[in-house]
Formats: sequence, C-alpha cells, structure tokens
Amino acid sequence: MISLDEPTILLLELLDAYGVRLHALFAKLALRDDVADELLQELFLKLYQTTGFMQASRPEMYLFRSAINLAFDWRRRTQRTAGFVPLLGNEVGQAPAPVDEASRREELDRVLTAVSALSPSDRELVTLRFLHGSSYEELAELSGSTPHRIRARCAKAISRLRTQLEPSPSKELADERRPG
Amino acid sequence: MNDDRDEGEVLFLGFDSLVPAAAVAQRAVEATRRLLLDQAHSPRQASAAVTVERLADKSSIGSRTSLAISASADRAQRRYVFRTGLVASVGLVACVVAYFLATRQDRAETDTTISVSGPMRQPATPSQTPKALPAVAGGNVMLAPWAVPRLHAVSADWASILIANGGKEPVRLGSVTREGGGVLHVWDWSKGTLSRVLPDVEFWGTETVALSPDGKQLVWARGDILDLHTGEKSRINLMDEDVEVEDGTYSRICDMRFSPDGGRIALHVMNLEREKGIPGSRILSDVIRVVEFPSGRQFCEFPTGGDYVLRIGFSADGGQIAAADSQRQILLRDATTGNVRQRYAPVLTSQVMGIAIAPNAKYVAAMQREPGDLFLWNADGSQLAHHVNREALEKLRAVHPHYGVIRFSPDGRYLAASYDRRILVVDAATGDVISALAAESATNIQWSADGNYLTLVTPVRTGEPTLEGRDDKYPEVDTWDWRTHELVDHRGE
Repeated sequence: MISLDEPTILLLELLDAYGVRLHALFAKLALRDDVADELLQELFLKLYQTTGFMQASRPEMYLFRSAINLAFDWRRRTQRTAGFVPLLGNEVGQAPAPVDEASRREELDRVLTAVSALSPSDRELVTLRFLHGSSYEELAELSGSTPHRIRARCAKAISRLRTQLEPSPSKELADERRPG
Repeated sequence: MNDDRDEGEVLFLGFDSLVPAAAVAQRAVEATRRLLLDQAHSPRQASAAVTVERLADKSSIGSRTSLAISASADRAQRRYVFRTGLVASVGLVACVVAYFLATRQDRAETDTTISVSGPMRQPATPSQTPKALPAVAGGNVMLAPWAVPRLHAVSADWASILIANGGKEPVRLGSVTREGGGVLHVWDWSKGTLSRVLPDVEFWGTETVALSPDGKQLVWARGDILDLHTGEKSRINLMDEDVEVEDGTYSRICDMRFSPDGGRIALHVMNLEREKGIPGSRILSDVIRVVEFPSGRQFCEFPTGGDYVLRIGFSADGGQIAAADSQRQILLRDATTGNVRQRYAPVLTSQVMGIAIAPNAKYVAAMQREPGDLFLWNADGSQLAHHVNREALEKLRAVHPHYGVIRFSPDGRYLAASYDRRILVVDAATGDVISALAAESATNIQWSADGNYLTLVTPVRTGEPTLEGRDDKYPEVDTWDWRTHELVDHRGE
C-alpha cells in the first residue's frame, strides 16, 4: 500500500490515460526515442513539482499544452547548442539507407522548425491536430470553440507553414548568382 | 475528406514512422510511473494521504487503450472535485492516523528480532527530493534527473557472467561513463572486474536479448546466437519475431527468458496493429511462447497476465512454467503442452512482479507490486501455504520491489526477494522472514551451491546531470553471508 496525495493520484491517472500517446508525440517532436523517454519523465516531474494542473479546468489539456511547450523548448535549446542530432539507437523498425534517413529527418526537422515559429496557439493546434491526431471535434471541445472555427484556424496555420517552408525567391536568386 | 486536412496530412507525412514501438512506450511510461512513485515518498507529500493501492498498479486501462480526450476530461474533472471533497473531510482523521502509524512503526522496529541493518551498509533512508536543474541557456544539460540509462546490463541466472553495452575500451564493474556505447562487453566477475570487449559485436543494450543460464550464449530476439567464449555465431528461428504495420517493422518479441537447464526459452510476444486515427501501434494481445533451444521448435503458447512484462518461473528441468493468467491467478503449466496443472489461490490484486518455482519443485512463489507481498504455495496444492504480508514488510522497511527478483535456494528451503535497499530471505517451510539484508536493490540474485551466500547484481545507476554531462554507473556485484549480514566480496569500484 502506498499513501499518495491528490496531485500524485491525478498525475498517475493522466499517465495511465495519456502516457503512451504523449511518448509518441514527444518522439515526433524530438525526432529521437531516447529524448522522448526523457521528456516524458521531465514533463511529469515538472507537473509534480508545480501542481498547477490541479487548478486547470481540463487537466488533460494542461498536460498536452505543457508537453508541447516542453518539447519545443527542448528543440530551441538543442538547436542553439548542437544543431540537428541524428537518431541513434532507435529500436523501432527497419533502418533506411543512412543518407536517405538523414535527408528525411532533416526534412522533418524543417517542418518542426516552421511549426515552432507559429504563434503559441496555432503551434498547439497544429501539433495536436496533425502530430497527435486529435479530431476537430475534440479540439473544439477542448478549446471551447467550434469544429468549423478550428478547421479554419488549422487551414490558415497550414498555409503559413507552406509559405515558411517554400524557399524565398531572393534566396533562390542569390543561390543562382553565387559563383561556383 | 476536406482540402485543408489533406494538405496538413501531406505536410506532416513521415512523422508517424517515428512513433516508437508499443513496448518502448510502455517502458517509458513505466519508468515515469516509478519516478512519480519515488517522488511520492519525498518530503513534499501528504497534505492528506489517501490509500490508493490500485493506483500503484499498472493495470489501468488508460495505457492500454486509446482513450478519447473529451470523454475522460469530464471524468477527470468529476474525480478531482470528488477527491477534493473527500480529502477535506478526512484530512483531520488522516493526520491522526499518520501519527499513529508513524509511532507504531517505531515500536515495531524495536520489537522485531530481525536485524535490518547489515554491518557494511547503513539502513535505508527515505529518497530525497531531486535537485532542480539550473536553468542554463544553451547549456548542454540532460533534461530529467532520472533519465533513461545509457547503459543496459544483463546477467546470467546461474553463472558469474554479465554483459552490457560500452565503448571500445574495457571498463570495470562499477565504473562510470558519460558515453554508453554500442559495443558488447562481457564480464566474468569470478575472474575479475575488467570487461572483455567484443569489438565486432554491436550491442546498444536496447535490443531484446537473453543470456543463457551458464552465461555462454547470448540470444537476440531477431534470432542471432553468439557464443561468448568462441565468438561463433549461429541462428535460431524464433518465428514471426517482426510484424509489418503500415510503414514500419516492429519487433514482436519484447522479452525473453531461458529455463534453468538452458533447454527452453520463454518469449513474450506482442501482436501489434495500427488503429485508424490513432498514432502509433496498439497492442492487440500478448502471449507467452515457449520454444526449444537451440532448435527453435515451438512447444506451446498461452496468454499472459496482461501486464506487458514477462513474469514467469521455470522449474529446474524446464518442464514446468508458472505464470499469471489475465485475472492474475498464478497457474502452473506443462511447459511442453501449455496445459494447466495447478491453479493457486488467492488471485493476486496487483501487478505480478516475480514468480519462481523451487528447484526441488516443492514450492511456487510469487511477488506482487503493491505492497510487494510474497505468496508461497505448496506446488501440488492450490491453497496458500504462507504469505509475507504488508505488515511484515513494513516492519522490515521492505518496499518497492522494482525488479521483481525472487529466487529459491538450490535446496529449495529458502526464498530470496529483492526490494529497494532490502534483500529478504524467507524460510519456505514456515514463511518466516529469517534475514533482511540492508543491501542495494538487485537485478539478479544468485545463491551459492551450499546456500550460505547470496550474490547480488546491482542495477545500472543513472547519475545526477551536470553541466558536463551525466555519469551512469555500471553494475557491481556483491556477495553476502545472509545469516551474518557480512559482505564477503565486492566486485566494483
């Protein structure tokens, strides 16, 4: 028998309900399995130490919002220090050819960098919709909006992402003019 | 399907392939659960304590199924409101009870005739609250104080052999590293503490492997067999070890264990499927499969206890296997046919952590997660022979059976069980705890042939993160005279 307090009880329930899905989300946002493990621990440790989620009207929304912020914070830190870090020791799946794999991950990294440049609310929406797999209806209920509005916001956010990911004409021009 | 959704999905195409295997995610969730439970014993606790035995149990359906956020949101809210009221109403009573229990434990420790502190180690102390990491902009600091280890070690059940991943240079037992590594290291601790490096064998430690009881052969779930003495490689067909799920290949074998005679391997096999609209793979079912070694011939297959971990006990000759069913009842099966020979009552109420069959086949034992109590049955009778219950464990400060290691002595008279900073020895005939070593937790317990000594393999320790990195520590091996509590041998730094 273990005696636990209320925040810990709720955290354990949230971990049971969403742990696997949060881990998957972290793996996508970090592009690394091992970091996903650490981020999951870090997330619940932070929640345990602050207990702010206890005051949240929707603890699970607070949980996912914290997770998304934590993952993008991690990305910002690592990009400042180490740049892109390739996946090592991944025990999942077949390994593609190294060059293809590196290229694919760089592409995914570019998408995530673009997502991180969105406004916090759009970033959260896009992450939950397209990386976590939430439906418009779920997102509408969680954010107190309507599915139609959520769909429209997603469309605008995707449009902004497209714009960011397209190479700028001036840069292309500069590349073409560069000697050699 | 609308346009913006299509466009978004195309943009994020490829991320789904990054979803780790279900077993990997389950391990991460389990590690986080342990972290939270460890924290729960730190001084921040107990504004008003609530007994929540079920919450320490891993069997909650949440981690096994995909819950809709919206559905559980209301439930969580209602639970929160209800508990807040409950806590407020029982707060005063809880304080009084907590005070009473605290003073009662002190009295009990005074009364017990069992020494709980060995001569070489201090008694267990409550876990400390971790220090928060300094916020260093741009600092290359690992995130979690208890991050996932870079090192992974496996030891043989009956031999002085231990393997782990490491770098290109030999390392000593108990040494620390910041790098980990992807090369196989082998120790024979009866000969020394320095590892033998097998530079041509890639081993990150995250692969599913089993080490033969004599420590001579290492078997990968993918079917590779390595003779650790000669370096000779061979193959075993473990049948359908991988499963294709859309764009990924997943290992279905997530754990494996040899029988004591080395003639069989029990495999924990998961069936995975990707559910539409849900990221990641989903566990549909898991089974225990027993195969002959080294032929790979399949003997039998039966359902697991549903806890996504391989908790089984083989008889000495490998002919019988004990495992839990989905109701957590311990069953003794014929390891060839899978037929149930005996059912043991009572049904366990928490996750099964360890199961063992005595070498003389007289007893079957099991340990459950909470509160870590031990059950001993006469192997040929369905009724419980002895129960080392919560009260006895609390007197001995034996809590948190992290690794679920229980092992009978060679003559079957004693049962050793590993807890957090405690190793208990139970007389199988009487059910009495006759020794409580204040030793570190163990990932493996080996009895000496005469039953006088216990050799304990400590787990990999993850160090405190610093600005320079994090030092993870290789296992150490300690041998104890469990009667005198004397540490007779230490292999490590």
